[in-house]
Amino acid sequence: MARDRYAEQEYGRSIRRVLIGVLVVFLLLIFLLWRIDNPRVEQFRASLVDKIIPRMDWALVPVAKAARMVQDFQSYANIYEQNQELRRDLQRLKGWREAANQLEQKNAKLLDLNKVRIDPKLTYITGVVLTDSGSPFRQSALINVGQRDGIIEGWPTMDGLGLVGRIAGVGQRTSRVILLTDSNSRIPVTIQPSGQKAILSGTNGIYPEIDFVENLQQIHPGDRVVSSGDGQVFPPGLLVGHLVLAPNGRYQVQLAADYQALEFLQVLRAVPVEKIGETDVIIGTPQSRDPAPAQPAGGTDG
Amino acid sequence: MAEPRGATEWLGRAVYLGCAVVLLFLALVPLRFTPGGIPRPDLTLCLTLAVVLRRPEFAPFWLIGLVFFIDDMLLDRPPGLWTAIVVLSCEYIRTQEYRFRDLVFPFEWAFVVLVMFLALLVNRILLTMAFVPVSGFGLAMLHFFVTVLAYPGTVLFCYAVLRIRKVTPEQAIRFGHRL
Repeated sequence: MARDRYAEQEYGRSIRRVLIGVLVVFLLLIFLLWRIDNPRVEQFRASLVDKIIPRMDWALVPVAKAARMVQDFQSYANIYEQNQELRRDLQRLKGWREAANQLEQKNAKLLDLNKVRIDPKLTYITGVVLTDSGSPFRQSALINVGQRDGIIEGWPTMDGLGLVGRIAGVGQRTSRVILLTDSNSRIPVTIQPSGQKAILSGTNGIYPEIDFVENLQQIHPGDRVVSSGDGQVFPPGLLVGHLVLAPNGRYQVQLAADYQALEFLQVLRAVPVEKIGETDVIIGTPQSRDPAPAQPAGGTDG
Repeated sequence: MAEPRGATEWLGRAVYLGCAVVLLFLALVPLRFTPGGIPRPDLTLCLTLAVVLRRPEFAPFWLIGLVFFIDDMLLDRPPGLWTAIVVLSCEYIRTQEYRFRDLVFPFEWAFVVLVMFLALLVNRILLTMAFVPVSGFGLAMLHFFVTVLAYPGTVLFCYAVLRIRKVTPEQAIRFGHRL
């Protein structure tokens, strides 16, 4: 009796070992598959997220709201100073508004003179932020718009004022935004007013860094950083932030978007990236080159 | 190992799974978009190791695999690798569990820290070998320390709230554990 039980246990144990082995090998195969055929596994991930997260929505939203309320409550302590500061800001901004009004009128006149039609390409879709990345090593957010809303991978995302990130991973109902602060984020930017081109690379810190500047003498702390149209990654001219000089002598960017409170994100419908199908089209004859680039831009906007 | 050992076992598994889901949920609540500061500890790992060292039957390998695989997928980690490492680490801890039944907590803590460190190291080495970009070493070490510091708290939580405690000798005999 005892021997039987012992034998049975041994048998169970070895079966268990085999099962663990199978599980581990299976998991490692998934990892390898992810390494080799990344888009497919990421697609699977997006659809899994798509299945699970919208169902947690009902609980996620109230918890986030409650936590924000607690944070807001904590800031009551310094409400007086805030009020004073806001008054000063308001004074200053009134001056700016006046200037903006005048400029707007002037601009309208000039546009009228030129008969310019404003580019209707940059319309946007607004999504609610569902979750953050949940890990200190990734800086991303999940928003509640996806394929069914026409979101396409690579589109820029803004919070109304400044650039926040780009879409990477689209599910049916959700999509993931890689924030500019993520260590995998690289976007081409222009530094105004000097017009220097550079790459903005995230570091998992609050301030992304500026790389590959041609002439460091021409840029200064406080310069505006906007996206450049290079490589057709982003439409040109979206505000990113301002340059600051880090203690280690490198230039970093203070982002214009308010990362403290990302609740809603605007996904810009950017120009679709041109697909190069045949190599001879690029070199090709003038008549084959002319209509090709014009058509996709015009066709998909309306 | 699906011997019918009573409702306790399945209840314990349900509690473990429930805690893991709540932890995942808390990790996903959209509050932190400003990087920097102190990272949040990996509480799921702490919980899993604490449960395996107390009541191994509450966290069978397939459940650990399921929990960590879903975490991998939803938290945007490379899928599968970390899960595989955690499953193997837990199986190793499971074979050592009987040694820690009578020992005081600091020994257990030291052992867990060692296993965690090795697991993270192996994970990092394999990621580097597969040319996956890994995060900065400083941030990873900070995260490791925060997780290590969170372990006693997790154990206390297991003890006081979940009432998952170490197996006493007579329970061990009754359940047919290795002594």
